Amino acid sequence: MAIDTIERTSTDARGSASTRLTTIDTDIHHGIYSKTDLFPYLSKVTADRFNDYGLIGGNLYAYNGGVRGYRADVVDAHSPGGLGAAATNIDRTLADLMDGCGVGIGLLTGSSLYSAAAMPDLDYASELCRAFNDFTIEHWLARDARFRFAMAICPQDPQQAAQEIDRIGGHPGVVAIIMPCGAPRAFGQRFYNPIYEACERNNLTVAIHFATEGTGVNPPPTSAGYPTYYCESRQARPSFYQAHLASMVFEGWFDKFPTLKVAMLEAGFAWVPPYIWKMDQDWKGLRYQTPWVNRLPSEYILERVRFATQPVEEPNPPEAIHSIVEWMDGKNTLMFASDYPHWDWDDPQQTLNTLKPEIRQRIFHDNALDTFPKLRA
Amino acid sequence: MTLESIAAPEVRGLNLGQPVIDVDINCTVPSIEALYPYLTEHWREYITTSAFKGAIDTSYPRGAPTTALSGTTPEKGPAGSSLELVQKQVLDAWNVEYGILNCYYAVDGLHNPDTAATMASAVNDWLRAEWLERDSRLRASILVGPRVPEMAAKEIDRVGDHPGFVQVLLPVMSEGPYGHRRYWPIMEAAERHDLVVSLQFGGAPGNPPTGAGWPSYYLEDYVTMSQIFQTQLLNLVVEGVFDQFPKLRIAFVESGWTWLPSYLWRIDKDWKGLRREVPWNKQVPSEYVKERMKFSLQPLDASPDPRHMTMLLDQLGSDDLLMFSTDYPHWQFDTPEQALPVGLSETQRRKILSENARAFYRF
Amino acid sequence: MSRHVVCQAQELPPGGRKIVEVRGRTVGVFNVNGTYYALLNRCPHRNAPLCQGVVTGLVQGPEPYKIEFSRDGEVLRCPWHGWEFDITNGRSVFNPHRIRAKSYDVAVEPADAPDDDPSIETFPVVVEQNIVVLYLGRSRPNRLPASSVGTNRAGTTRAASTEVRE
Repeated sequence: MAIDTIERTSTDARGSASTRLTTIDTDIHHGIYSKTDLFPYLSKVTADRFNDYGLIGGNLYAYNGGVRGYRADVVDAHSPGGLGAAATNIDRTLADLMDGCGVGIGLLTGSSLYSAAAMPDLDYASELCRAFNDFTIEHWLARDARFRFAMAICPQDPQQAAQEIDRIGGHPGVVAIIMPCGAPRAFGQRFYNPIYEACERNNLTVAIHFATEGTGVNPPPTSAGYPTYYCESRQARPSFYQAHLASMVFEGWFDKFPTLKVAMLEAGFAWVPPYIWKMDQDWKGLRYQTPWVNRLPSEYILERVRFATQPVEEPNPPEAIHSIVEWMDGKNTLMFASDYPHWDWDDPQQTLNTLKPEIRQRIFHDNALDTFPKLRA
Repeated sequence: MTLESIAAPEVRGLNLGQPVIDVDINCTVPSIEALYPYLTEHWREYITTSAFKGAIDTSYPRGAPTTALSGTTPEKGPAGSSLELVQKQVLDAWNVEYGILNCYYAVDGLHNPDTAATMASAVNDWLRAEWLERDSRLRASILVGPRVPEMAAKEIDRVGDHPGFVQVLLPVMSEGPYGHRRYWPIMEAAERHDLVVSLQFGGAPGNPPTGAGWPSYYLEDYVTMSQIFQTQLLNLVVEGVFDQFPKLRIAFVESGWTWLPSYLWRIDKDWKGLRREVPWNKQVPSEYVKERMKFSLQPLDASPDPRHMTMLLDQLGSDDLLMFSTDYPHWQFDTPEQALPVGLSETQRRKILSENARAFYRF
Repeated sequence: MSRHVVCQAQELPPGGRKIVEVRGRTVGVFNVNGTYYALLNRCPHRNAPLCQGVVTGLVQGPEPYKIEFSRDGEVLRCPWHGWEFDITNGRSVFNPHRIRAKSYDVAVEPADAPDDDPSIETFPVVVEQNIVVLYLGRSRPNRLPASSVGTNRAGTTRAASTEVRE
């Protein structure tokens, strides 16, 4: 394929030096290169099964963008399909993103194992998550001090998830859990309490990322069933986050777990202002159904929930970005994320460059420190 | 923020200085017995001797404060079931030139296609006889059962030429997204009769109201309803409905619209890189929306700061998208003075209050 | 114009590409079914290394659910965010910015203005005595019409000259 003849060139047209600052990137998708990467961390029986079955009940919507979901300029044409690409290469990530883009701390959010959250076999799924967590700690965290980790769990089994959080949640590099957003129950429900209690014990942030919508044990991804095209599945992502947020607000989650923060990753953010306006309006007339909620819903959300910027909004006209950021108190509630190495990633040096420097400083650095307490340790 | 018991405000109208077109007056079937005159003997007997109470199995709470403003419930029957109250509290009170009745009766939740079709026909006949023919200001949406689109098309063909019917009502929650080709018979029939197809709040498809399952509280359901409209919007565009049916117009009723600017930016952005999956689209998604769709004004879902609404209206990029609605008898605004966003220009006001709807519904 | 040697013609076979740096610019040179084209290696969206993207064909949809695929090898999809460009003339396959019908100069516009045509600057590339040669002008964009295949066809030999088809 033609890629072989390309000479690597410098990216000579990046953002100017004035946009450089030490960035904290809150969404980097690392993963395994092939199934064999997990074998050392699995029992013989599970390794055999993983080899044969793979990640069953996985992704309903094939990542139709880029090359298998990745940037064509960092994907390895020869990598085995289905589990990612050589963009999951540590050296590449360090050179391209960390060194190349001035990222001082990078939160690894996985990807390969998201579908475990939708598997019906709870033990198989949980063992895969444990293996992936150990793989990450041994290979990625140990390799470079700039990496941190949002560990994998299976939310569909809160007991095992809590055990896993207690097992490795004390590792200095582990700062959060990942909960893939497709789920048969919204995340404010008491079903998940063991997970949150374990997060409290280990001072971990609850990070929600899109994955598993409408797959495996999860219900259809929208209330109109299954959309047809990949571009539609992308647009449905905020709807999950909205369902989870509403659930957390109205089930009193923010009062039950007063120290926990929530990070919502990879759904952009311009949907937030109209959503919180609506929630505040609607709550007035229906407040009596959930009387333990004694503050405006938007107050809980803006105080305790943080939103990653990727995929960044491209409003028309472009200046509207300032309104959006203001309406959601973005200088406090937004956190930069690149989503490297996916095709729709945001270059740290070319994102939100029109914002004032002091706001950018908060979005690209300070807010992440506030959102993930273990980053300060 | 103190804890107070809040009851729905008293219903009140407002003369806005010109005749208005109200595109969303919720009309309610008072009881299954009200439909008897429009059902055959077989169905009357079936209903009387079975446990079937009609198409009323939804998660929508009849008695919630948001469902009915104080004073809208007649002596007999639920709010929205009395012509007299609608005339007094909407048509007269707001100086309505034309008012569109939206009668959602959950036939989409009936799994027996013939029952669904029969009930839908009965509702349409009831609307015609007891509403449309009694007040010339009224228009109505045609109720259909979407589960079997071909049968829905037949009902549209049956009543679609009556001048009182101006659109087809589809509940926004559905078995599958309405752009999908299996629903095309409905679009075809609507286009044939030059009817608007409207997607409206609610539905009983069996799918949970969110992609993350069934929320515990109605409030969550209520708040996240706009998501389903978004799903439907994009699906209608990318399945080529607007390309296949060049005359078709789609209305979103009770969807809210403050989410629309940011949503259009997002789908346009993604489409630029994913176009090849849906190459029959001849233009960016937002262009289809602006050309072929309109949205009812309520719920406003406004920011507490009125200046934001002015900016949002700018961000919509078009003054032609919104159509005035009271959403009677639902509680959408505390006082009628809050029904309109502040800061509208004269042109915007006129368009929202009547001219957008006049053009759209061919009044 | 300045003249830059890219490589021997046989080093750039059909389906191949080379990315070269010349005078502070990065340019991708493509051999598309035997005809050479050169594009600026920078996407007007977010400055991605455009020429490292996926080479594919033109996907069109005459009606819903009907896909027509043609001109295989003549369309380049940006490796970031997927915008599509016609390799033979640098034009975006479907101008994603155009929301108003207006005529516009065939030129590269800054990426910030949403209404602008995000076409890619192209450069003449010719084969001279079996060498692939790239010509860079001043700031004026150059386009090789797709029909003008005489000078940028592989397998032709021409005396080196300053005459360039535009």
